[in-house]
Amino acid sequence: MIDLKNISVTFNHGTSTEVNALKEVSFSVKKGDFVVVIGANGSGKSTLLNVISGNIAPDHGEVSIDGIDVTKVIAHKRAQWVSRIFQDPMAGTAGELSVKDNLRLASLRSSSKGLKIGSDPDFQRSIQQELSELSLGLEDRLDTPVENLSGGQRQALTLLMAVSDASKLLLMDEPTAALDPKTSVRIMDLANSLSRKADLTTLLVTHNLRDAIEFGNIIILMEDGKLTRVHDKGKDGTPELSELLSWYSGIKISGT
Amino acid sequence: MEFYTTAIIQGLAFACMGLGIFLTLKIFKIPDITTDGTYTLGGAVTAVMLTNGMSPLLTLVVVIFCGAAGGIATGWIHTRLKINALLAGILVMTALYSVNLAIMGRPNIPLIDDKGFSNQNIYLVVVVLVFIAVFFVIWLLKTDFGIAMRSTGSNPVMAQANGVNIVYMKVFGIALANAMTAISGFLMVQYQGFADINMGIGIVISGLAAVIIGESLSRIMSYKNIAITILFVVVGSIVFRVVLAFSLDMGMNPNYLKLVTAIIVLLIVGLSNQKFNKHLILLK
Repeated sequence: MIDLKNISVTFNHGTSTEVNALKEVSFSVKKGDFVVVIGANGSGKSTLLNVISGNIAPDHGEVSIDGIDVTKVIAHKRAQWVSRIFQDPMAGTAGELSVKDNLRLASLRSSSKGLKIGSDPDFQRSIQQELSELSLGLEDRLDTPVENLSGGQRQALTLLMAVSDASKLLLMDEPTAALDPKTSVRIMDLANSLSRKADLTTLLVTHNLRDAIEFGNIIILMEDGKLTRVHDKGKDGTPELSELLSWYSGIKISGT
Repeated sequence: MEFYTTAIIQGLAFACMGLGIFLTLKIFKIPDITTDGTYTLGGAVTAVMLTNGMSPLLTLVVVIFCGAAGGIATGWIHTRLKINALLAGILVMTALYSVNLAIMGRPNIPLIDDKGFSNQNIYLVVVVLVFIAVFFVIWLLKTDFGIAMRSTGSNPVMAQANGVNIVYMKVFGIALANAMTAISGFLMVQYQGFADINMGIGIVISGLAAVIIGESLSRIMSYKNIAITILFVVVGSIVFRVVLAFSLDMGMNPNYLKLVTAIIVLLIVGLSNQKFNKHLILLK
């Protein structure tokens, strides 16, 4: 599904602030996997996601999705395969646009945005149906600008948008880091059920080890720009929390 | 009274430019001041084509393309060369001064009466063109393409993640805005009966004023609808001209026109940021 070959990323190349964010990372994800990436701050987790989404070009190495080499494909074109959830609940939706318009845009992620008025009654009915399943009352607020919603509502909407058009891969970068504990649980459950329903391959970056154990079937650890441990639940069994914690013990928290 | 009729017609003629500024400033959040150059460009092309006996309709088409080309230049410099939008606009505006002079061949071209739309028809043409422009912009922003445009300005990261080519969108937006600005030049040259190389200096303020007054008006009446805000931009453009005409009518020294213009815009920006309803009574 996704194959990363020898991916290296260096920021501020050749200066005193040079950072080797990723060092020769190679990794494959099979279709349907729910991969959880854990690791200390600055270990390269977000960079890894950004390389897959096309927002950061690797210095060298190759990214392929479903056997297609996409290393040179720019972010907005990769959006036909890749949908994203960001850490900042405000980042995944356009605040000034209505709930309806945000969903309309997401429904066209893999196709062209043409000169037709697409938010017709049929479309509205179908998104009302989907929104009502979130049970957040958003189905009655189609014309509300998204900036008037709460962070949890916006993140839930972002999730719905991520699965509203054909996609193969869902990238989530600490989707619940800015949410309260109750909303976090709800968002993670929603993410899990939506990604299963849409049969997506999922990559989740998180610091929540309970989520890692609960949702991931593959758990990987990143340290200092390298992928150092892989735990396959299918082969190695469900890990204990203490086991995952012990992975961290040897890590120096880097200053970057 | 004719004084105020003139102000209203001028306000309408500048409304196209106001809509353009609305697109760049409010939809794309890009401060584009190529306006001064593309407004004169529209006027210069109009004067040269009409005095050479070309049809006004063909002239309008060429004006639209010339304005768009000016916008594309700014958009390209801004997005591809990664230069600050204001600076990109200033560069193109400066360069256009020479281009406009080259097009005109001399600093001033008077239109003889039988060239272009005659004085009575120009009123009708102004109204019809503004009407078309308003409905075009409202329609465009409602389409799927328009949603992509608005998302680009509102949240470019999200737009990109949803498959929007934000570079293309920005260049398109600046091009469209400057095409509309050039239409204002087309209208004003025919209305005033001449094109002048300096007609565009500081003109961007009229467009800004239209957008700011329009936005403030729709805020006071608490309309959130984008179509209504766009209509208010047209109203704002007229209000601005009428307020200027009023100050002249009150016996203001015309030498102070630009100063008063700046103060009016400052007042509106300042007041719309304060508690709004209370201060509006003062404005009246």
